[in-house]
Amino acid sequence: MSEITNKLDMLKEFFNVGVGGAATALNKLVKTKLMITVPEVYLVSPDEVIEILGPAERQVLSIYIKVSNNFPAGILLMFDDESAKKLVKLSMAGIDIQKIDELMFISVLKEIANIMSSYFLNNFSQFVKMPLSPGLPHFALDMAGAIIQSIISEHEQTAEDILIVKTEIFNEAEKILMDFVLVPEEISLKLLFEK
Amino acid sequence: MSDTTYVAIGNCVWEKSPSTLYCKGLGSCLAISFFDIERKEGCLLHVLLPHCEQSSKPFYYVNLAIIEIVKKFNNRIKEGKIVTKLCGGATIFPLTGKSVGEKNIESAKYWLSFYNIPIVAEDLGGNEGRNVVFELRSGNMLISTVKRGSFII
Repeated sequence: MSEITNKLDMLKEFFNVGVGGAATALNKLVKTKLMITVPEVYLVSPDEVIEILGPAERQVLSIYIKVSNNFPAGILLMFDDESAKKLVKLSMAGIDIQKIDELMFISVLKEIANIMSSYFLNNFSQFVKMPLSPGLPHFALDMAGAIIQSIISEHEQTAEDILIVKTEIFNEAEKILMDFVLVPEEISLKLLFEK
Repeated sequence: MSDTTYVAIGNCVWEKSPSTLYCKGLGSCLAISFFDIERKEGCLLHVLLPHCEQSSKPFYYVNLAIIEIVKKFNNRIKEGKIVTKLCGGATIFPLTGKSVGEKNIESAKYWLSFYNIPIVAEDLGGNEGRNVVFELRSGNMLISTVKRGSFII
């Protein structure tokens, strides 16, 4: 038991370093200071995952990125509408926000997620001691419950408990808040814990 | 006042009229209602995955959950008194290959027809999440989505 707790603490620590890198990269892009909360690790049932990241009917914009085959996992970024608009506006400084159409908006969000996950994985790969790279970003605007549940069912072939590591990246004055979540697949868990 | 009960993932709740049952944030999950049209009773099932050989948590899987329900409703199904409505099975993120949502739909349709349980209404697939409320008074399913609004099936 204590060994698992140790491993989870380590995972949390490396996640923290990774997210630190991701937040710094975003920081440079939007030229706004961003803070990160202390990461939280959960090993819980699918329904509890939704409760933690929800509430289920909360409407969110989300980007989902699959991590390369070495370490099957997913990275999920979730924003509320206001935060997403703010981030896009800040990263497109100098361009009239009115001129950014929906397609452009989504594309900028995807790029933000891309940059963040690249920096995250760059740091995080030292933990798993393998090179990791992000896959293509996928966008969805929907209920948080539907998004999370879809990711869970894509990942898992069983109904076992799911490990998630999450943190919030925020700037209170600018009213920016996003969830950064790592969802390792079952195989990756074994990889982690058998090392 | 009638009761409203939340049906979590991997659960199946049995109720009688005039209660209502509901699921929130269905993505690739399926919500399947089983309704006894004469007795005004039934259940709402919230399944996550299409298939499993054997599990201690049968209500997580389409095939095992339907078998469990058939065991309970067996006589009424033979008399043709049980009807089902299906909703969910969306593909939120179009990753490669067949999505879990599509597999869930396939599996549900296969097993329901295997046991001769008629599907009287459905709202399946697509790319958006759903909330669903199942009213045991009428057997209606009230579905609400972000982009398509609310409607009854």
